[in-house]
Amino acid sequence: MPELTYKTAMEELQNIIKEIEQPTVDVDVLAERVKRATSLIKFCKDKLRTAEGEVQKALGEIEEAQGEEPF
Amino acid sequence: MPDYLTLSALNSLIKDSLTLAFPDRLWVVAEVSEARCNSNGHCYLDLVETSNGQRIAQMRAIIWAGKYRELSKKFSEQTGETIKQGLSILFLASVKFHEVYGLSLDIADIDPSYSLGDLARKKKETIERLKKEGLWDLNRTKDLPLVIQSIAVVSSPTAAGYHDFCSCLERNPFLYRFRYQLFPAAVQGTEAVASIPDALKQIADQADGFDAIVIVRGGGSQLDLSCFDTYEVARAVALSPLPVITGIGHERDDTVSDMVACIRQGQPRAVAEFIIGRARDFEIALNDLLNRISHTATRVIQSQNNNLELITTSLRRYSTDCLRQAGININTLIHRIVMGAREATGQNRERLLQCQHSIPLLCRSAIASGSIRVNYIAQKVTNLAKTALSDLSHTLERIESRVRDLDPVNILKRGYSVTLHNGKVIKSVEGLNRGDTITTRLYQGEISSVVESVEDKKGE
Repeated sequence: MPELTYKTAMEELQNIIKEIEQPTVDVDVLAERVKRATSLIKFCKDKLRTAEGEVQKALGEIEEAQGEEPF
Repeated sequence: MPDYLTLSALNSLIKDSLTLAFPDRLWVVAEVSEARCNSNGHCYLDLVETSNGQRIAQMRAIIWAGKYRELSKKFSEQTGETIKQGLSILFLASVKFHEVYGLSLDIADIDPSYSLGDLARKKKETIERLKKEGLWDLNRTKDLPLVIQSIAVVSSPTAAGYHDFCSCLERNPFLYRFRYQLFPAAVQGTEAVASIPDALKQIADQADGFDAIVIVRGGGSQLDLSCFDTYEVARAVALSPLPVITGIGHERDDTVSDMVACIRQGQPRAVAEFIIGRARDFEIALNDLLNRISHTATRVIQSQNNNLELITTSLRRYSTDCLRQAGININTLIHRIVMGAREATGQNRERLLQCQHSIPLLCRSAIASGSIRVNYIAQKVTNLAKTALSDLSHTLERIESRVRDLDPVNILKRGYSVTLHNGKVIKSVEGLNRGDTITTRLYQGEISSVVESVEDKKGE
């Protein structure tokens, strides 16, 4: 997985928006995308308020949370 | 011993010659390389002329205290500058020679408009050179990161502007965290011309660690900032691998470095506010996205629920219809089955009666045709048997005749005889000796004889 940056996170968010605003979006896909989008937004907001060293830690927690908690 | 002069006599001669040679004041252009005022208020200047970076002339000058007060007031009113290092000036001076202090220029007037024009001309030359060398747009066209969070700061650790910048960043009301590292540099005077490019070079070597470069210093006079107009500093800014944000001096001062930088802000504080604002803009965009996502999700789920209700309702209606229709169909089927069964039963009874009638007939006809066949076969068997019997009797007769032929009596009858010795038929003379008695059996009767001689005719 490439390193998540503000730029890549924003790009992915834009793509998610584009995808879920399609009239034909599948509910399961929607659920999955919404989950991803909220974790991306959380990542960015955390990163804005986190000192350099803590960013990686926060990132790790997000990845972990994504792994263990089904939507 | 040759004639000689005392030093004071020589200096007097020099002084007289110079006074003769330079009877009037002259307008002279030179650059101030150093300016200092002593406690009496006199201003001492070192004036130089350079060509291609080489100093080609140098001279001391003095502005007496009374004159200096007058001139410096006029000068700063027109240029916003004090008379100081780095400035080119056009001045009216007389050449003075003092027996103890040597040669110097006594400045009586300065034309401020020349200094202004000189600064502008130098600036223009720098701009043109940067454009010609293709450096002008290098940094201006760099993409600024969405969020600038790791910042390389070029400033003087003692500069007020640097502390303004830092405290403004740290006291941002949104609690954003910024990481900044100072790369110390002189930010005024000739020292800055080498020092700022050095700092920028250091940053370039670790460019991966930063999002952008910030160059800040507090406000100063135009001359204070003139280092930012130099080719060396502006070039280093243009060539920086990271976008440069400048916060040099006050709002109205626009140096060449400002012009080639990616983002130009006025004061250091404005740079910090710009960086905070950018992070804020990003977060607002995130919030907007979040709203759009939640709005979309709600709408989709709502419409899915509506669909579901619609489907449930129509499913219920449809299934009721189906059930009703199925009920009707079943009744029809039952009716048809009963009718069919009845009809089928009637037909079967008729077929049964027909069978009852036709079976005996069929049997009789089968028996009849069977007996004809039997008779035919019996006839055929009889004939075959007769032929076989006749063949058999012929064969028997043939065998009988052969058997008859083979009877030894019959052979004897034809004149053959059999010789016996000790009751056994003999076929050769072997075992017969002279004197042995042998019996010869004929067709009728037997002869007993004694062997007179034995002749072996074996193999004949």
